[in-house]
Formats: sequence, C-alpha cells, structure tokens
Amino acid sequence: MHHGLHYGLLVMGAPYSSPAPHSALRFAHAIIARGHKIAGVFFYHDGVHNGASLMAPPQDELNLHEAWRELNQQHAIPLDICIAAALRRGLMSESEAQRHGQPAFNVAPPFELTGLGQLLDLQQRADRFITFA
Amino acid sequence: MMLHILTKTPDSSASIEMQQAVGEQDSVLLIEEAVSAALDPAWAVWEQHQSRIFLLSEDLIARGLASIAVDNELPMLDMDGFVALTEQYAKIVTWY
Repeated sequence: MHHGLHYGLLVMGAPYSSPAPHSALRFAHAIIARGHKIAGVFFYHDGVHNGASLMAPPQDELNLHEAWRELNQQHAIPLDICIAAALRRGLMSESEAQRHGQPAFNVAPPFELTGLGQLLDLQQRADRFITFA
Repeated sequence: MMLHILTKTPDSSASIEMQQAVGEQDSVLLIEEAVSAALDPAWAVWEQHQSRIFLLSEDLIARGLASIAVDNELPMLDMDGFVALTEQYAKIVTWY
C-alpha cells in the first residue's frame, strides 16, 4: 500500500459531450477516499467548459461545474483552467472580460484562469499524473 | 512499468496505438467507450495481457454491459481498484 500520494489530474473533455469530466470527478473522490491528496486539477482543450459558471443542466442531472466547486470547497483542491483555451471558447473571468471589453463573464473562483506553466508545475509536483480525455 | 488507460473502443486508432506500446510488465485499464471490449471475449488483447488487463465496472454498469462481462469471465475493477492500480505505477498514459 502506498499512502499519501499526490495526484494531478488533467481534464480535456467537455461536460455532457465527453465522459472524461465525470470519470475524472469520480476518480477524484476515489483518490480522497483512499487517503491520498489531489495537488490540482487542470482543465485544457474542451475541458475548459467545466469551468462555465452559467451551466444549467436539468435538475435531475449532475451539474458538473457545481460538483467541481464542491470538491474544491471540501478538499481545497485548485481548479486551474488554461487561459488560452478558455478565451478561444468564450470563457472569461471578470478581469479578462473587462480587458476584452466584454459585457459579461462566466468564470469565477474557485476556478482560476492560468497558463500552461501551471500545468507543467502540476506535472512535476504530482506523484501520479492522469489524463482524462 | 506503466499503466495504460484506454478510453476508446477496441477497434479505434487509440487502441491500436496502445497495443503497440504495452510492455510485458505493464497493465491496461479499459474505461468509458473501451468497456465495449466486454462484448468480444475473443479479442486477442485479453490473452496477451492476461491478469494485467481490467474493465472499469462503473462504466460497464453505465452501459449495461456488466452482466456480459461477468458471463464472459472478464476481469473487472471498481473506482477504488482503479486508484489502487495507479498506486502501483508511477507512469500512467491515457490513450484517447
């Protein structure tokens, strides 16, 4: 048995079109249940859509955005979104929306827009790094 | 030593690429679309990597394939088993 490993997760699929986010979320809960830690989750490519705060699926369906937020609240896990991938797909924080002269924003804490340096840092810090795509 | 995670069907290009890369001490975990491998117990990869290849049971159940996997006596792991497998392998690659 290995105890106290640090995991890094990379999520590359969009909610409701790819099974990847749901797999990653279930895996994240299983990691914690086995006594390990999650160093961070990085959302890249279509995975950035997990950070869309205006997501409003029917009430009998899992709200993946809300589920990631809860994971962050319960276990203080960083949720980082690739800023370049996000801007391309119309996802912006309040400060980015101001910078681009946009009237609205749809990325808010605990999700943070960040660069690929953060991904490389997570890959280096984590004992185990797993891609969900 | 490496853990290979396949997310696409057994006949996908991701699967073909993975099959060329799996070493003798490696393990294989089939998740998401890859659990459709349960429908084909004659798939050569089952025997090639015997005792080192597994289906994710949650994804079998979600796709209505769990009883077929049981009938075909194919090896399964649940999410907890998935994490346990990642404890054994420092290197993990996902094929998609």
